[in-house]
Formats: sequence, C-alpha cells, structure tokens
Amino acid sequence: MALFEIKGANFFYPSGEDSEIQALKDVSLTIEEGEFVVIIGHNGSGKSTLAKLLNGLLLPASGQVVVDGKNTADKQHYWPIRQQVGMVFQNPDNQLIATMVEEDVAFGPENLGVPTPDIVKRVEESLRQVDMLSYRRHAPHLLSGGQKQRIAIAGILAMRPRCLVLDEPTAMLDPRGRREVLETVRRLNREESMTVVWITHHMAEAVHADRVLVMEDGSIVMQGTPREVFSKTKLLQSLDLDAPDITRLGQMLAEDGYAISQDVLTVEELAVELCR
Amino acid sequence: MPITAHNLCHEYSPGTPYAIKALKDVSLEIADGEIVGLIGHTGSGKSTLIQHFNGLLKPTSGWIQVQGVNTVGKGVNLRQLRQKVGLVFQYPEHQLFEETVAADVAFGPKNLGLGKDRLEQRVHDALAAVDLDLDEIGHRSPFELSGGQMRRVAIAGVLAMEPEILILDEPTAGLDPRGRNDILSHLRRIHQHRRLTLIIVSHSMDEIAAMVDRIIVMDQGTIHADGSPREIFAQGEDLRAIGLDVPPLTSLMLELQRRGMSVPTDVLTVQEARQALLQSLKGVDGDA
Repeated sequence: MALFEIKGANFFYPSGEDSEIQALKDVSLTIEEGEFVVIIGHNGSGKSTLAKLLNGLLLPASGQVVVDGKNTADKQHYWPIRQQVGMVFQNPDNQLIATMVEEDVAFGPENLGVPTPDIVKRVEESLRQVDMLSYRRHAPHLLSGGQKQRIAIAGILAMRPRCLVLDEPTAMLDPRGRREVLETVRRLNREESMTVVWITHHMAEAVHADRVLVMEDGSIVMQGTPREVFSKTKLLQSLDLDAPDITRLGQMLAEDGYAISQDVLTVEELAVELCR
Repeated sequence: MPITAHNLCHEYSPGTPYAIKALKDVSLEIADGEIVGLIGHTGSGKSTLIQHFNGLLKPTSGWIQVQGVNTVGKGVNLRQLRQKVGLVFQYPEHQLFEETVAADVAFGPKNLGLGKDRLEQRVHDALAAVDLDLDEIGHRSPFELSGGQMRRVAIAGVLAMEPEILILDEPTAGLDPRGRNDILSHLRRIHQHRRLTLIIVSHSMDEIAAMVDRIIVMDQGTIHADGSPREIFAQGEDLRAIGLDVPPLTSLMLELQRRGMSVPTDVLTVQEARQALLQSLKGVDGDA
C-alpha cells in the first residue's frame, strides 16, 4: 500500500509586499511503503518544500497530501503523522539538544508519553540501529558530524516512525561522515523496510535508490530508477546537473563503437564490461 | 616566497589532558601566483595550517613566514599581514551582518581609511569579480539573496581588501551543483585577473583537480603527499588508505589494473579516461 499520496499539490511562499513565489506546481507523487526515494535538483527547485509537505510541516495551498490514509490538512492527524514521518535536516548542530547522547535520543519518546522502562529500551535499540550504542554516555557536541547525524537519526527512530525524510543530511559532512550516514540509512531501509526519502545534491548518493526524482522549478521533471534517470545525460545536462562520470564515460565509449550499455552506474559494472 | 613554513608544529591545549598535536613538523613553500589545493580528512590539520597563514594561530615550535613577515617575530604587525592574506572561512555567509550588500562588502576596506571614491571602486570591483552588480544588488539586504549569492557576497567582502594571498576553506560546501560550478569558475577568473596566490581547502579532489597547479594532501598533522594533480591521482590506492575519497575515474583505472589491463591512473577528466581506454583497448585488439 502507498505510504504517501500527493495529488496536485501547489505551494506558494510570500515574496516581498504583495507578490509570491510558487515553490510547488501541481505536484503529484506516490511513494510506496519500504521504498528508497532520492530527490535531486538545484536550490529553489522545490525539494525541501516537498519534504515539508510529507509530514504536514507545510500544507499545500491546493491539492492534498495523504499519509497512510490520513490527510495532512486534517488537524486531528497532525501528531500521528509527525510521529510516523521523522525528519532529519542539514545541520546536525541544530538538531541535538541534550548534554548526553542517550538523553537526546530519549527526548522524542518522552514527549510521546512512553513509559520510562520502554524509553530505555527504545533508546538502546535506536542507538544500536545507527551503530552508536557505545557512545550513549558521550556529549553530542564532541562527536564528529557523521556521528551527530546518526544520533539525530536515532532520536527519530526512538519515536518508531515508518518513514525517514532526510533533507540534505550529508551537505555539511566530510566524505567519511557522508558514507557513515548513507550506509546507516541504507541498512535501515534494507533490513527494517524503513521508507526513506533522501534529498541531496550529490549524484553518487542516488545510485542505490529504488527511484530518483529530479525537481526543477517546482515540478518533478524526471523520475525513474537511477539507471533510467542517469542514462539521460543530455537531459540532465540541460538542467545543469551531471550524470555520474562513470555513466558519461560508458556512453562515450559506446559512441566510439564499444559494446558498453548506456546505463552503467558503478565502477565495478564498467570494469566488468570493459574486461569482457 | 609568499609562504615558507619550516618544521611547523602546533599543539592545541598544550600541557593539559586534552593536548592534541594538530601539526607535526610541516615544512612547505608556496610560490607567488600558485593555485594550491589543500586536501585532507577532517582532523588532518588543514584548517590549523591555514590559520597559520595569516597569524590567527602561531606555531608551538618551528616558524612560518608569509609575505616576508615571520609571524613568531617580536612586534610583528599582524594587522598588516591580515590585509595581505584574505581568509574565507567555511560557510562565510554566516558572517554577513550589514543592512545592505554594499555596506557589507565595504566594511573591511572602510577600516583601511580609503576615500569615498576609492572605497566605492573597490566594492564595485569586488562584486564584479564574483559576477554581482553593485547597482543591481548593492542596496539590497544580503539576507534576501540565495545561498550561492550570499556566499559570493561574503567572498567579495574579502576580495575588497585586495589580498595578495586568498585562502578559502571549503568554498563550495553545501551548495548545489550550479552554485559549486559558479564559485569555482569565479575563483579561476579572479586568479587570472588579480594574479594572486590562491589556496583552496577541500574534501573533494574531484572538484578542484581541474583548476589547481598543485595538491597538498594532509594526514594526521603531516604533509602526506605534495605534487601536481596528476601525480597525486596516480597514487589512488594510497589516498584511499588515509580515508580520502578517490575520484570514480581513478577508482575505475585502479580496478582495471587489478583485472590486468594496462591503463594509467593519472586521468583527471572523462575525456582523458576515454582517450586512455581507447588506446589500451586498441592495444589489446592489436595483440589478438
């Protein structure tokens, strides 16, 4: 069953005195339970606005957003939806509030009124899920960026959500932190069937998604498997986005007459094709 | 030499249980007009090193001389040094504070006591260098601009000081692909026109390989490698060992070598990789 159903959503931000900017233009989208969806696109393309529609942080001006059968515009669904759809943002420093890791992770379930023994259990479980259990008594501000993001994710897992929406979670991280966070979230998706919506500027992070959406100017302009999307190098270039180097190299060699498929994505795939 | 460091060491919180040796015996020379990429993992010492370049930090031992000024010397004029060495920190847009773009860019040079006309000329030129028009956006609040534009305004604020050495810490972090390309092409142009020495700190070799003359790789407080991008890329395996991201094309070449193909590992662009592979594949056909 579809976890999210967005139909004809429009959204406007005020701009200056009496004008407005249309951030989303008639967007329709269905996301299935357990899917890993990556959204790419430039700043101002509407990615973050779309993300905020998913848990009712923003409501569409027209059209509707339905999460697990519940319309986000319906006030009685606010809290159930926000508990089910957890959000992680770009800057880990803005998301951590406690002086000890386990207290930070406990913050969410405490507010949900979960009984204390259950909170302890949930905190332990969530920290294990992001591979940070051994840091439970550490101070969050002394951790690396990647570790902080994983703590932020654990804080959300402790609320037992069905979906994680991550808005550029790796933008402020170094390559190692980026890998840590991506691998953690991929594992949650694979092993626990967590639905994931991952927003990024880094094409390399989209390679393992079930589906890639490309947004431009408030609309979804391309979507499909990473292979389908990245093989359309010309269209991507016209949007000022680059297909991964490996895909471009594969296509050039194909033009030179070698039997390389149009949609190679990874180093291993291209190496195998070249050595055949 | 604009920058010469000799056995530079820096220790944070020396003499406490938290003491960390961030730089260990770093010696290097950077020549006039060079474009240098400084690469390394978080904690490798990159940021500590660049803060020595304008005297924000002083060596625990060893010495560094920048534009003829030895920063450990007695009575050294750091104010003068900092006019010559512009340092753009990570996320410089967080440091914007004035009511208008023009006032923000003018803030630094105004403190130099320039006359009104010269000041305005500098603000105009600095904004133009990052492709922004003083007449068009000078009167606007910097906080109304897009993230990429705000960053360019912040860089213009440093350029307006007309530094001889420009250092940028992760200038493209957090920007979208369009913003990244913009910043890098502006930097390339600024280097050409102003003939300054440019030092770019980055996590991503990929990104800066095409524009720098030289890459210095830092690891655990020491210089791990120093050479042209081609020389550095050729050591792909070694870079992976110290936790750096190896560009995908380099990874491909390493993988092909492992599988017995004879290919070079010092390719920088997709075009170069294509040429190298065409040559290698033809060779195989010829043998057959």
